[in-house]
Amino acid sequence: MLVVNNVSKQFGNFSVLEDINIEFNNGVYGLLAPNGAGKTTLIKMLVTLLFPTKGEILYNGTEITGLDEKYRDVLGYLPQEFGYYKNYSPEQYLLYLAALKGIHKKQAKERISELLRLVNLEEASQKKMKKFSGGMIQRVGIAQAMLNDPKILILDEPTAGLDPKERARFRKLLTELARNRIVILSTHIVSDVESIANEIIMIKDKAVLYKDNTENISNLLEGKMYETEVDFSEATTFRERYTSIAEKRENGKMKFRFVANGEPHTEWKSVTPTLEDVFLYAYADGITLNGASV
Amino acid sequence: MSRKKPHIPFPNEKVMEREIEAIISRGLDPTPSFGRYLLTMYRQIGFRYIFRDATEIAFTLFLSIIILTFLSISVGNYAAFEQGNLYTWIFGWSPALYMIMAYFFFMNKKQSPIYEVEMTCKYNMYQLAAFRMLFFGLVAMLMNGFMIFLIASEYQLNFYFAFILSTTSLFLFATLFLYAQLKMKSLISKLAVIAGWGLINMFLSYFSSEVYQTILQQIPFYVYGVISICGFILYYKHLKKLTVYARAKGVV
Repeated sequence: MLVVNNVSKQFGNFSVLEDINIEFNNGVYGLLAPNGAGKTTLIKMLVTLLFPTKGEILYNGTEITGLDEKYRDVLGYLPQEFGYYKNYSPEQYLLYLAALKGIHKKQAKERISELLRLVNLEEASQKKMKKFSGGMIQRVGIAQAMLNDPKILILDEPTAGLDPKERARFRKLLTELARNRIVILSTHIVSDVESIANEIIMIKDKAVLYKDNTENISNLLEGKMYETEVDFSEATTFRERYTSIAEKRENGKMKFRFVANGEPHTEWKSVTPTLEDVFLYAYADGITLNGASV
Repeated sequence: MSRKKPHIPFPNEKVMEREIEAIISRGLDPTPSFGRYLLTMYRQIGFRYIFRDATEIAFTLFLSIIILTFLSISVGNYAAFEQGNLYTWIFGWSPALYMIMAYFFFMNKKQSPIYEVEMTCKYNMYQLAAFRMLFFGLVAMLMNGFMIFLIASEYQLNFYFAFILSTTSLFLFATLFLYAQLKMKSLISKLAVIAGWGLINMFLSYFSSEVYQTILQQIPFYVYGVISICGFILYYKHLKKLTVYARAKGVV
């Protein structure tokens, strides 16, 4: 079990995170917040690249910095800006990292061919990575994070650059992996985590806003989510009165998906709220939702 | 029935300390010596991956030797080397090769594209650096020895004295360099230490050349030997600190 205990992080006088408390058990955790909310800072603390200014992070009861290489031995990490050596092939690159992870060469070779098959890069295993597309590079990154069969797999924006087919494949892979490990996935793309995360963690104003499963978080907008069609001339007034979540032109009118508190109008159609609705609503300026389970 | 108070032997301080130590040593994993740690790391990773950039290192070393040789020749054309002057020159310039390797392949490592990934591996950059820096120190010592051998045949120097002088200078600088890396935060102060060595030596040899030469040559052979050994031990200890540096300071 990985425990974040009263963790705060400051850079000089600038506070990024304050009093964060989270417990991670086996399963997929979606760390969901807009850019700049402190996701990467939290992730960097979880992988020992940064240290908390206050508080502690424990793995099975011991502080992770004290565990040193024993912690890194069970850790897999894909950073947001994943670097690689351009003249290396995926196989060379993974062999190098496998050595740094203390994996014996014979074992590493077997694991690498297994992983390259898993991320669909088997045929490109000998090609130089400088010729790779963004999606291919990202898949090499995912493979390197899984090299040591980690107990804690932390992925910062892992689906950046992946096409829809690769994203679906990746989600399937994570669900499979999460059966016997902690998978923490940081993203600002709701669909990446909506269907696979056991728990969603949202960060706002330097603190954990919600930590619950998708259903419970979506239910925070239960009975408040509607759709309706409005004339173009009334669209501006409508936006001022209600919180618009999505808009599109349809049948010569503006179709709004929006949040409204109070009595609904008869022409409004009540809809089931999704995680994306809550995400967009929660991060709209000056809005707070009650009933959050933190 | 007579109620006799049972006698319970109470351990003294020494026994208590011994028992505590026994419990702790059984409960904790044994910590290997630094030498054994480096050997285990070498066996697990191998030379090829510890020196992934071996070609770049060899090229930089080769280029540095050429530049330093031409620099020496061109300086020699302006100021004819006297024997004493050469010892000053050797003392001041012996850390040059080490300095170049340590700067490009350690200080500059944070610019590496895969720095963050490397730092989260079981053996991270600082642990690898401990092995690499030890190797750099020894390579620099041997290369200096080779160059002094070539100079000695040309200028009739005492090779052994020049070599021990060079080794003393090298390990004094290497220890200072690592100390700066471990204790100083800003890049400017770290670079100031490197530049400071060169500037102080240049200043001393230019402004009080004779005094400086005399001091360097008056110090007995064995004193240099003792300083060299102490310098190496200190350097080795600082390398050990490097392996836990990331754990103590954070790295980004």
